[in-house]
Amino acid sequence: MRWMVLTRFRNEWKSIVCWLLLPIVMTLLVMKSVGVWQEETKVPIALVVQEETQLAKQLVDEIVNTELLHVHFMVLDEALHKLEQHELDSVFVIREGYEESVLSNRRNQLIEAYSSNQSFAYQAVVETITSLAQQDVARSKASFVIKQLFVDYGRESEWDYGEIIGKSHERQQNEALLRTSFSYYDKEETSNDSTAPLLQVWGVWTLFAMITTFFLFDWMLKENRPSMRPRWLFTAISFRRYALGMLLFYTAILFSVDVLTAFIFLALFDEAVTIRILLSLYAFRLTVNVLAFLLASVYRQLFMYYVSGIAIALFLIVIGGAILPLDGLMRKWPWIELLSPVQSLLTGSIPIGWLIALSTLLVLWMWKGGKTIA
Amino acid sequence: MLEVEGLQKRYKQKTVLENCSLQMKQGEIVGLVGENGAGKSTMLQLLATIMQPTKGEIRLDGLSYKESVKEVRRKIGYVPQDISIWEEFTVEQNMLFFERLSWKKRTQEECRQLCIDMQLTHWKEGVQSLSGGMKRKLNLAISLLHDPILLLLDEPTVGIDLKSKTEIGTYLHSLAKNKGKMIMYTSHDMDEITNVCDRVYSIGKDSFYMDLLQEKGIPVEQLR
Ligand SMILES: Nc1ncnc2c1ncn2[C@@H]1O[C@H](COP(=O)(O)OP(=O)(O)OP(=O)(O)O)[C@@H](O)[C@H]1O
Ligand SMILES: [Mg+2]
Repeated sequence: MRWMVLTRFRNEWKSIVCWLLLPIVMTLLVMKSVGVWQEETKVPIALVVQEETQLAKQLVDEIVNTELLHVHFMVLDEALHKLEQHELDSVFVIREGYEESVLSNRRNQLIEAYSSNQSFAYQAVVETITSLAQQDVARSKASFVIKQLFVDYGRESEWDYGEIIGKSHERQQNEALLRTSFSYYDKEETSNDSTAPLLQVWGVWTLFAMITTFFLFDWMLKENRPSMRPRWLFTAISFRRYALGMLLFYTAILFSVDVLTAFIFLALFDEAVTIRILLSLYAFRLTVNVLAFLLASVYRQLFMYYVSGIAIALFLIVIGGAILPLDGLMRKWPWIELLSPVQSLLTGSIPIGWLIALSTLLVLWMWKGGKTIA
Repeated sequence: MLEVEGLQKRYKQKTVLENCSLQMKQGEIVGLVGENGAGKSTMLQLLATIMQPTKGEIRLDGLSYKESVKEVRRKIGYVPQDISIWEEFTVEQNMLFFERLSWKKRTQEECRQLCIDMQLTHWKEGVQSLSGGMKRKLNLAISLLHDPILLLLDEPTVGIDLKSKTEIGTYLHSLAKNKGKMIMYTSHDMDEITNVCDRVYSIGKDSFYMDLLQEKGIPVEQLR
């Protein structure tokens, strides 16, 4: 195997290492810029919390977790000052007595709101926060009614508000979960449908990983260019064997980088790393490599090969739903996801159809390659 | 010993070679001449196993081309008419690349010596910046890596200056006379042919080259 590692790779290792690292770097850049952009589009509001009860705390948590709000905590005076300076869009005060009002089902003026003439998002924010508070009211009202029933039947001690409200919360969360668009590895981003991420880390990565793979496999064309073909007749290792060796070699290297990527994503984005995910990643890697290999064996011209490689990568990304979640499409034609190995990776499964088809073609290529070389 | 009997090559309708027979012995340098399109490259490609003849027999050291192509190839060094080297690499990288793929293992020093033997001294230089003559020499050096006994060179000296031509000629001469290689090569330069070759085959119906070379006193045989 000494010939393999030392041939073209040795001569071009610098550029190859750059190509290998490109998907990670590009994914980080994209995720970072999208993150900054999302941060900038968040509405800055101030929350003045004057009460420290359980219900108030819950409401605060819910507001903070609302994707499009950037929440600052401060005292009322400071908040109003910043509102005047237009540093804040609006100011909300959870006043002393919030819990009491909720429990006693007084829903008026639970929260005080301030806005300025430049509070563009004010109406939307008010609606969001009111609806969160309304949920609290509704929940406590339900528990209040239930409690009343228990009191009526003389079994008051067996239930309390907290428990009922907690249960109600849980159920709501589960419902929210069901409504999310598909998610990758099921992390907390999915627990709230308004926070489905615009871009998924692995989705972005697959795009760059596929394009990079197509570019890396251009050695198939370079090594087998027409002017060099006579040379391959006078070598101990036929081009076919050399190419298969290189395929194995690149698969090993690329998969090592993939595993490294998975751990980088674990560290930076909290993406899970499990055996299942690594297996899925391996299957994806095999699929993409063999695809690039076979594609390269068809083309004569580098340029055309690159163009088709990029086109195929984009196509698989789009039908795989990596960039734009194609929920509607998926529901209409569930088989469409079978068409993309990207989808398999994003759902942690293995693209068996692709692997079978590609290995068949690979065997055909080996058999045919043996015949054509005189 | 190379033996060719009744060789015919037909491309679709066009018959390029018809009933050609020739022999070569160890240590011989044989020229192959003929006008453009006469079939010189075709003949060399047949002898190099790159193409198969439509008729006829070829044997190298008693090995039949039909029955044992794999063994035959190990004994052949073929220098294509079009330069066949990695443009994007250096001389060294080119040599080492093919050394690693070769049947015969050579040290880096041996590879380098092979280049020096034919006055190719730009070991670390990128091929792109080499002169035409240097490229031709590298093209030749790569074909010699596995130490073949039959060397087939398709216009190895085309487009290069007299000095490089002479250096290549001298090198080929020493390969044949000191190492017993059989060398067949084509060229359009009749002075070069008369200087380097022991005898010549002329391909084609035309007897122009035949007459020219006979005048110069070199044995010529007509092939058709
Ligand atoms: N692959 C092919 N298919 C069809 N015809 C071919 C093919 N290769 C060569 N020929 C024809 O065969 C004839 C001989 O070609 P060849 O290349 O052997 O000539 P040559 O003597 O090497 O010429 P030159 O001096 O130009 O190199 C030419 O007429 C050419 O058109
Ligand atoms: Mg020719």
